[in-house]
Amino acid sequence: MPQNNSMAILTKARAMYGKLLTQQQYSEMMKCKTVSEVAGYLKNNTHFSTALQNISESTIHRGQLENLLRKSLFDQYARMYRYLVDNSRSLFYYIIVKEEIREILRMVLLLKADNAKSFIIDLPGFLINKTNIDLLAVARATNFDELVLALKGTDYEEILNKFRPTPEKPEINYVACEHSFYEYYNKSLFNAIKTKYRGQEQKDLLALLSVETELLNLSHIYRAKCYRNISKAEAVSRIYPYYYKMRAKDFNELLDIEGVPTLKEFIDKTPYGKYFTSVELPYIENYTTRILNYACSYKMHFTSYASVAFYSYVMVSQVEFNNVINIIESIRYGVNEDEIRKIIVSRQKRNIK
Amino acid sequence: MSIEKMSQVHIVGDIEKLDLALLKCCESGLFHIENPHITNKENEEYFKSVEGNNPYSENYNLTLDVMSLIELKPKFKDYSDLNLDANQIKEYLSNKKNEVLNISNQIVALNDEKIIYEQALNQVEHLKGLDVEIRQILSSDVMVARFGRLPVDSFAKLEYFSQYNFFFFDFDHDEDYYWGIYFTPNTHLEEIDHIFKTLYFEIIDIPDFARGTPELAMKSIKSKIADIVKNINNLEEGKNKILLENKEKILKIYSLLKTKNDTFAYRKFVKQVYGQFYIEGFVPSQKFEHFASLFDEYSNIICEENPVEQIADIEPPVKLKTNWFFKPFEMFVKMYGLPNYYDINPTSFIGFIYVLLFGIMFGDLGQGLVISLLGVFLWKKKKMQLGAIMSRLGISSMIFGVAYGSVFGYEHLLDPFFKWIGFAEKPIEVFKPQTTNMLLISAVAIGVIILISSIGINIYLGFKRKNIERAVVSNNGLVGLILYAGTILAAVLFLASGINLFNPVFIILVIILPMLILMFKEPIVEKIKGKKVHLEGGVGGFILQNFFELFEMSLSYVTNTLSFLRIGGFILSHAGMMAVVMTLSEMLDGAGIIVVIIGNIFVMVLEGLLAGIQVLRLVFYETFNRFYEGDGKAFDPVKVEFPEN
Repeated sequence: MPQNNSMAILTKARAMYGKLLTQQQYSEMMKCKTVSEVAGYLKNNTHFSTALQNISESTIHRGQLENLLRKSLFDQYARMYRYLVDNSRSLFYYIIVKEEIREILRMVLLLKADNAKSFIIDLPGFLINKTNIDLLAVARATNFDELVLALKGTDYEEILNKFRPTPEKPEINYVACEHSFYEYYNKSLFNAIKTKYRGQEQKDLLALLSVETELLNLSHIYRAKCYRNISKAEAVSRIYPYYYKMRAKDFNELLDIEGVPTLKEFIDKTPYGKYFTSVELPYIENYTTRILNYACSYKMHFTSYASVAFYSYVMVSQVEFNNVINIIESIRYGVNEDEIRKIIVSRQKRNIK
Repeated sequence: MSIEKMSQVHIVGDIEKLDLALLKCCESGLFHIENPHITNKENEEYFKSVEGNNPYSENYNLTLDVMSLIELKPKFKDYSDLNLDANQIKEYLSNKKNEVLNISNQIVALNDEKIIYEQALNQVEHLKGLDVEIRQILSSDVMVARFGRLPVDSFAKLEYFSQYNFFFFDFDHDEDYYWGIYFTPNTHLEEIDHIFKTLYFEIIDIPDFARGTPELAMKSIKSKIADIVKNINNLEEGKNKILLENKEKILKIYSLLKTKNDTFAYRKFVKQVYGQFYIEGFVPSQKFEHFASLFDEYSNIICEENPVEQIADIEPPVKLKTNWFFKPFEMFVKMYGLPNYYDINPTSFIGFIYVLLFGIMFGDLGQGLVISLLGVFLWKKKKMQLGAIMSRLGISSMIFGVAYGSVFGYEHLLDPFFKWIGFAEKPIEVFKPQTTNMLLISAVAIGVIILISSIGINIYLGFKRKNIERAVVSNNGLVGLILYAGTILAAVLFLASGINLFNPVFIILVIILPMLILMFKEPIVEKIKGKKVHLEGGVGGFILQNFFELFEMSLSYVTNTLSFLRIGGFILSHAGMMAVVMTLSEMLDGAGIIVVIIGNIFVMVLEGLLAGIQVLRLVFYETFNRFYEGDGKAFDPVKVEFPEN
């Protein structure tokens, strides 16, 4: 049975969920002509108003706005986390882990591009004192060895070591590196859930996590087949071994398919096929995010476990954050409203068939 | 129970006199305008519309502009002595508008200036921890200083740049920003500016007028703001002077133009034919002579009356005619929908039921008086229609309160009075077991009387409308009445006197026959009308469907009657709640009176509301359902409405 403080978290999470941006608000944002207008809209008409109350929307920079929104999300999670019972705190810990991985991978990419100095610019300042790694030391790294040194003593050191450039292989294999980091993340989180939760609560959390990784696998394979001509072995190495609605066998079959039309046909026959609309969306992620958003929204409505509500809220609020960032970026690059609309994932179920 | 008799009225006259005719109609408050009803379609082409551009709208809008600028609230002012033509009005208003606009623009400019100074003050306030002259810092030859604010997020990153050649000094901060100043040698300016730009440092321009130390600068800016405020106040005074000097005249112009403008809007109901205007509408028959006399002095305007009974296909508007006591209850009738012109006005009937039932359910002399007085207050002071209803309900509550001997829950306060008039005790003791039974039986009896009365009204209306189905062969018609009243009568006689009417003849004539008629009412009606009988769904389907309908109807007779039991229930619950209040007050010796006061307020609010809602439900559901069709059209006389103060 859920405990009393869990009920409070459930209520809090649902209340926060109720404040997420609506289709109407997204539409109004899409009509903005500049980043300043979007900032003004977010400041005056949405639940981000408290986070943005002191900004000067006419002068705010895109990166600064993005950081403020990211900080606002992080603060929301932290506020909820304060009320969670001990068991559930691990979920918040993994939010930090995910942020750490995101920043390390960003640094790896910058090192590859020989532009490590610009890392500090987009580093969210609020993370500096929140993470378990020294982000400023990471920022000071000018090469791969210094990066590994900055992460000395952490689990990340071991992962990074596997990709240390050598005279024979001077290039960092970013894709494999990224996969290793997220493999580590998934494995730790799955284990944590299995150890710390029991019964239906564990089942629900694993379901959410499995759907997320399964959809990630699906989009990886789709991208590999459509845009990159990679070998089956390489594609297999990028799959995370967690399944929910599909089986390993299905993914094997998927990897054997030749040609995009047959691939689409096969996806249509999977349990996720019904969610793929007849309307063409630009990227596979536009579909998978919709499915994930729907799954989390569903749990948000019907769960009686604080941890499940918390995790679902984190997922849907991340979708919302990405929507806002997509709108801002699209406006910056002059993308028209109809095109933006296609990549926005709103809360309504009717977006998915 | 009546509806105001209406006469159809036609007004015809020279087209030049149209505005005058419409004005007279508006002033009378008696004329309900309608689109002319032209029965002969061939004539339609001769009737042209008279709508056109409203010549008053321009000046009227100008008046509204001026009134809004000088913040003058619109209200009516007699304009009979105003001697200005349209051009003079336009010139006068334009001058006033320019005068006021000029002042307003100056105020806007001063307010803008004030905002700049206030912003500067806001910036300098963040520097107040700095005890150095602002200009001195900004005018160094070897070093550059930049004032501004740094996001908290970026402040955490400053450590990363600790090796660079700058120094950041913060003197204030809040949740989101650090206010401060960074110093850097001229030689490194470009590099350091770039770093701070990437950290989203917002440079604050310190205005030239901020001289001396921040403390001194603040003082000087505050004094400047005070000067601006003084100037703004002077200009506002000038504006007020214009308002005072021109108020009367502008209100007269407003009243004149609003009258002309609104009257002109009614032209959409007017037709013209051969240079004559033609207006059609309704006037209460009793007031027609007075209405027609308004046009007596104009020989070229003819006003003629047609009794509505002579006109087919016309639906006259409805104006309820109710006596003063029940008039406020028209609110409930209107809420449900006005009756048809050819039906009856049910206001007195439902008003009587409402007052009676409320009084029975909420009988208390003291509480009734409070409700009545509160009602009068809300009615007279706040113009609330519900207040007028409350004042009447309170009286009824007081009358029944005397019968129950109850004053603010004190059940024996009136005993000396009853003894004085010769009673041994109070007439109704609610909590006596035999009284309780009597109350519940009486409640049902009242319900039976109300239901029979409603069916009676339906029968009357059915015959009046020559609708045999409604009057005779329906559950609320004659047959339904025989079935319901006959069964109730037989049951009452059997239970009260032991007389058993339920013999075969009675059962066949009063119960079975009416039931069969109700069951087969559709084919019977079709037969009476001489139409071919058609059973929908075949014989089997028809019998099955109508059997269940008959079953539901019989059940509704029972449930509707028992529904009135709530009247008795509320008498008991009211007395019960007051008994609780009195018990509590006795338990709390010192604060007893406070408990009585709070308890009375609580019971009055809660029970008063509940009793009011329950009676309304009985009226709407048990009574109106049986005879009422709220499909009437409201009598809405043309008028020019001015805002009330």
